[in-house]
Amino acid sequence: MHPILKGDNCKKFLLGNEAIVRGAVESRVQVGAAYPGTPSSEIGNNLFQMQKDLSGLYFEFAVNEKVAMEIVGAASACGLRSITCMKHVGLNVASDAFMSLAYVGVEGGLVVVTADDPSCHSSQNEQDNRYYAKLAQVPMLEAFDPHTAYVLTKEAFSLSEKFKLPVLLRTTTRVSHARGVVEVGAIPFDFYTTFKKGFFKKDPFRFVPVPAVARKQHKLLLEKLEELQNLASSFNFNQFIPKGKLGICASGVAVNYVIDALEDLGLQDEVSLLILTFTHPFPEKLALEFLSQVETCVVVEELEPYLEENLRALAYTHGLKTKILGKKEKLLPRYFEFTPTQVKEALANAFNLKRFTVEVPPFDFSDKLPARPPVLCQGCPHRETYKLIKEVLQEMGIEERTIYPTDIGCYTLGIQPPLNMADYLLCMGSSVGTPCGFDVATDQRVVAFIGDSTFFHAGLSPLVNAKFNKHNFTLVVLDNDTTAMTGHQPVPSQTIKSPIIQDHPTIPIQKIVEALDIPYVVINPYKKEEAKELIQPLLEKQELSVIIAKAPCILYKTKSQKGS
Amino acid sequence: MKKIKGLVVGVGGQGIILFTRVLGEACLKADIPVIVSEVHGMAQRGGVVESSICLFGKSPYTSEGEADFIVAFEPAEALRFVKRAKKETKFIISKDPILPFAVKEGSANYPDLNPFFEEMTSYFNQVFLVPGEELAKEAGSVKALNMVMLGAATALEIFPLNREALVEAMLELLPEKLHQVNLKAFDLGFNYIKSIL
Repeated sequence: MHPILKGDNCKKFLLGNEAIVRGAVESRVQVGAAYPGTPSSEIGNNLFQMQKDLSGLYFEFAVNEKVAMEIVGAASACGLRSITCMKHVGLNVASDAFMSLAYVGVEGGLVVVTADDPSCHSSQNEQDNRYYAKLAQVPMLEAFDPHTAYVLTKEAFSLSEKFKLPVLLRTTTRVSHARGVVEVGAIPFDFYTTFKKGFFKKDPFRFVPVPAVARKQHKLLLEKLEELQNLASSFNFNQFIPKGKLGICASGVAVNYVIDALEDLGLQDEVSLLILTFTHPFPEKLALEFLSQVETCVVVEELEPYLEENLRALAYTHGLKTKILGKKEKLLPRYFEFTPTQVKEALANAFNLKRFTVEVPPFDFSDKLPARPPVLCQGCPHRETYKLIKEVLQEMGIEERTIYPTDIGCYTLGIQPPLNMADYLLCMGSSVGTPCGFDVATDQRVVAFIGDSTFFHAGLSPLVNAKFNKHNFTLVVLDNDTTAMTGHQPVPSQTIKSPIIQDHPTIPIQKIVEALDIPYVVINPYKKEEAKELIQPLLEKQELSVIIAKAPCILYKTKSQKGS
Repeated sequence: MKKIKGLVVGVGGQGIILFTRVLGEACLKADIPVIVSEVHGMAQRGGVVESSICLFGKSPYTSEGEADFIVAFEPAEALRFVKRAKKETKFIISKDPILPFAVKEGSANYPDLNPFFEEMTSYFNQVFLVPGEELAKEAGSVKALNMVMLGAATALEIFPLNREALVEAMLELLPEKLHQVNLKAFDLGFNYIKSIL
């Protein structure tokens, strides 16, 4: 049995992402869909694996986050509890569907997990997705450790069902990838013995947001938000702990740093706390009670001043003189993860504790030590592909001028010397869209790199654009049979498949390229001379072409041979 | 109880996650509040890996001047994280270097660490070097370095848990075919520290 399913009504040592899975299964989730993305990946991975043990659960890895959002939206419209999860930038991709989902609403509870990544541990930006809740006008819960991730997942399902709205559940890397003690309930195994189908009750004047419907639904949504605003103030896991005239308002992982810092500073009995987990709509009534009882309020939240803006507006509206200290005063920065020491220092500063200093060793060796940038694994086929293409372009005398748009995956590591073959990147699929622009704007050769999974995620439509609008560049599809970087999730073109989807078809990338009538070659990157001969003619011609470099990820190959 | 904060550092692929999981499961059994952080994703590809441990507290992050202990699976990584330490920090360091890819390729240097260690040991009083690779090999697999280090850390009594509690958690987490090697690795690390104390 899957380890997350083991044990009822006990304490488990779970990763934040595993706690979400446990909470979802205890809540009788039936349908899940997701595209992998760190730091959210373990949610999908575990739901995928769990289907072996729970016949009543369906999960699929969708080609991208928007498709995943559409799948769970429809499943929920049929009355089934559903979940999707994604990294913060994944919600950008899914946002089109997400925004309308708020208007048409849901039937079965629908939880949308966004895992944000302050400090960009594995991302191209550190956007604060709490503003998506505000933008889409949906309720949002913020977890601050694995246990709250578990509890809030369960709360999110009932909240969603009660208000017939999707609920955004927000974590960050330091919550998703923290492992802590979670007090779990029971798994409803009886419920999961068979997959129980739902029923879609037609209601086009709700589910089809043509302008007349959309206008009506928006008003309805705003009415729901008002009700939710009241509920947020009485929400069980929003806590106002009144103590003295000094106050702190916090959400997310910073809650832990605040509690530990107060203990270290000996202030735990003097400082009033407003700990928030239900943060959109903002719990105004509760926050007002807090602001009226303190003279100073320090706001401790990572990234954007979301709570801070709400608190300031509230204080202004009610004519309160409470001193609010946060990002505006540069007490804490708007970038990167916080550290406990940083929070401790900020609080000592804000509360004028002059004697407090953190003692750190008087030396630092970090700039004298060798760096360890992540690198392509030994024997990785991507490295071979990069090397042989570089050689051909060098032999042609145009390598230095060639522009290498790249994409999101292990192969972005082509940025490292000695390869230096990553020049421009925006987001998933941008390696195919941006060459269309480079082609118009410069005479430099463009050789772009994209992985198989990213190709299916967001590379198909720009390739059609390139063909239709007559853009000239060479696209290299690094087809390694898997979604490697996030932990080997399935990809439509793969030939080595997980036993769970053994009967799924293979969709070869070359057939898609053929259908678009684009010249292409398929190479084996380990056969260097043969591959160089195949690609040279394509690179010499100034026309749209595709090189498919086909060789499985060595880790994936080894893993599947071992049968895990 | 007073908070105990620590850091386990090393290089992607050294098995740091198992170290913290065994410790965490042992804490869970003993009803000790515990939270750790793990590194997943791209950073695992041969990069620097750090895992924070916090017992009796809430923060899954051990930052500057906070560590009660630092377990380093690689000597340069111990040095990289000294700013997280305080005067009384206990260091347990596996002394065998792992060369970064750039060093193997010849485009970077792996410096002589001895001068840094001299500076370090003149400031900190409790720096313990462990022949990690040798002990892991003796146990039967270089991969068992993580359990050598866990055994060593246990012998130093940096966790409020005894050998039996950690061994029990370890055996429960590992498949049976790996029990012997890892148990031996744990005890070799444990006994090594006891022999030099």
